Amino acid sequence: MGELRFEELRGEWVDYAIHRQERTFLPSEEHCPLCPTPPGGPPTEIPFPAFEIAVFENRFPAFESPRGAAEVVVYTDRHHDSFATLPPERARALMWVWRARYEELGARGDVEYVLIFENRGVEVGVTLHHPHGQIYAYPFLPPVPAAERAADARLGGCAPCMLLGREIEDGRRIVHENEHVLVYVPRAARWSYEAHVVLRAHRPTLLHCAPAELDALADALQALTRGFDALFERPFPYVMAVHQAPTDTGSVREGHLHVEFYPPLRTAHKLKYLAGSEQGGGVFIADTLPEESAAALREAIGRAG
Amino acid sequence: MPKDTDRQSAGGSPAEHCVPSDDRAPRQDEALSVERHRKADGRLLILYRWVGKDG
Repeated sequence: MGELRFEELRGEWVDYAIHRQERTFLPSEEHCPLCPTPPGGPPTEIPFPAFEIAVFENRFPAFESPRGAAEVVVYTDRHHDSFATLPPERARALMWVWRARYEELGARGDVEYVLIFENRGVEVGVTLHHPHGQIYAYPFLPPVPAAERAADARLGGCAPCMLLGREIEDGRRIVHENEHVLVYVPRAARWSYEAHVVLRAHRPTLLHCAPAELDALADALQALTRGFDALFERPFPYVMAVHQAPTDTGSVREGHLHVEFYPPLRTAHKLKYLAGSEQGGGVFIADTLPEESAAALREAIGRAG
Repeated sequence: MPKDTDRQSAGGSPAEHCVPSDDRAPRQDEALSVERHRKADGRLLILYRWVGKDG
C-alpha cells in the first residue's frame, strides 16, 4: 500500500508507491508479462493463449483500493504492434474499453478522477514494450484536470470548446480532422510536437459520445500516431493522456473529452528536458514554434496515410 | 515583458460550442463481450472481445 503526502509549498499530493521499484524492467520478448500464455508455458499476466484486449489490476499499483486503482490495458496479444499499427477495428474497440473502465472505476466512491494514459518509448520511462496503456483512478482531483476546470471558470464556460473555436478560426495549427474530431498543435504548446485531439461537440466523457464519435476518435488517434512515427521515420515516443470530466462531482458535464500528447522529442535525436525554468520556475521554454511544428506534423500525417 | 496578444481575442462565446448531450451511446455490452476473471493472486483480469455495435 502506498502513502499519500501533501506537499504544502506547491499545494499538491505526492504518491509514495515504493514497491514499484521492484517492477519488471524491460524484459526480453520471451519474458514479456503482457504476451499471451503459450500452451504449456509459464503463465504471463494473461493466462490465455490468445486475447483481443485485456485489462488487469496492476501488480505494482500506484493506487489501490480503498484509495483508488491502477490498471493495465493491453491493446493486443501481438508484441510488436503499437497503437498506430493496430487494425482500425481494434482501435475502435479500445475506445469502448476505455469507456467501460471510466464508467466502472468512476462509479466507485473512492475515485475522484479516472486518467487513461499511455507512455510510449523508453524516453518517457516505459518498462514494457508490449503495446499497452494504463489507467490511474485517483482518490483526489489531480492538478492538471483541476487546472482545466479552473480555466472553465476563468473563461466563463468550457475552455476546450473555446480553444477549439479559436484553432478552427486560425487554422494554421490544425494537423488532422474528421467529421467529429479535430487534431491540432495548441497555440501555446509546451512540447515541440504536442498535439490535442478534441471532440468537436461538447462531450464531457466517453460515455456521452455517439458510436460514430468513438470511431472518429479512434481514427484520429491512429492518424496522429502514424504521423508521429512518420515524422522522423522512427518510433516516436510520447505520453498520451485522455482528459474527461471528474467523477466525484455528481455532474459529469464539467469537462470536455480530449486526448493530449506530450512527445519529448524536439528533433529526430534530441530530447526536451525539464530543467531549471520548467522545474524551478514552472515555465516551459520552447525551442520550436507551434505553427512550424504543425506544418511538419501535418505533412507527416499526410505521408503516413 | 512578453504579452500574449492573442489571449484576449479567442473567438466565440464558450456557450456557443457547449451543447449538452444526452448519454447517446449504447451500453458497453452491445459492443463488447466481457469475461471477468480473478488471477491466482486475487487481482481482477477482464478480457474484452469486440462483437460490434450491432452485435
